[in-house]
Amino acid sequence: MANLIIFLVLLVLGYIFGQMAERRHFKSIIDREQQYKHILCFNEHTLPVHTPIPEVALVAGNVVISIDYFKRIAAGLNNIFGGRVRAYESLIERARREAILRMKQEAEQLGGQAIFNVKLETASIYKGRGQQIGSVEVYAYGTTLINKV
Amino acid sequence: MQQERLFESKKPTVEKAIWLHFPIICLILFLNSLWFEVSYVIITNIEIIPGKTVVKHLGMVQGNTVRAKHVGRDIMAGFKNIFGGELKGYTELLQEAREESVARMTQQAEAIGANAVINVRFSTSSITAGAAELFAYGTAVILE
Repeated sequence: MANLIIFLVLLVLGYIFGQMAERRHFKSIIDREQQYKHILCFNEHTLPVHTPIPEVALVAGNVVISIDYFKRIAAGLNNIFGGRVRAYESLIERARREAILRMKQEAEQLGGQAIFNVKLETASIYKGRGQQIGSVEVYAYGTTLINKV
Repeated sequence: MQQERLFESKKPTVEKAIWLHFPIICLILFLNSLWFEVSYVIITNIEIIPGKTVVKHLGMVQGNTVRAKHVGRDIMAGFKNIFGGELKGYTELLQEAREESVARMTQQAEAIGANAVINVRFSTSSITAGAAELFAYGTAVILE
């Protein structure tokens, strides 16, 4: 009985705080994407012919985001029936966009205008009971071009 | 008497000389630190470096580090697994670990006389539960 109560409390807490955190995070991501709109990202490794010769630097951004309790249970239920696992979709989307934003932020600090050869790498960091993914790490890196003035 | 006077007059000149040299020494130290900052290795993950040509390829250089989770951080991560959200401790830990692996790669490149590392790639693998290996590798080259 006590176990059931703990389980339900965790479920409710996870649902409330998880939803709040996700909404807040998406809002800040959208705001910052507008802010760093002027830095362009490409995944080509050949540079266009520039008239001024730019300087180059490696920039990177990483983030570790954890899933909440409610979503983990929901994803577990999804594993029985199959189909889209929306809980993880939103988690990984948030992580990717955040990592790219952090990379752009670093590029802006260096005065870069564009980022080439952007690579994204995903790794699951924390595995709970039953090898369920608890948190995911996304690492984004690329080469920024800094025009010398 | 005369000798004493000479001695007295000499004493402040020695001090003066020291004080005169002090800013010069400072300047030398400052220039030295600038020199170390200037001699850095360019790191990119594209195949070329614009405006420069590759004179010589020196082969692959690599750097790695294996990091384990901190107990305190692990407990915090446990809490965060209920509420969701970013695990700032882990983000910092992994970022530091990557910088470490890049530093080791750069050190290796410097040791073989390269002045740039191109085509850098990162890779992560979990060795055991609770420890991750972060690996950076690239091609060391000499630019003209």
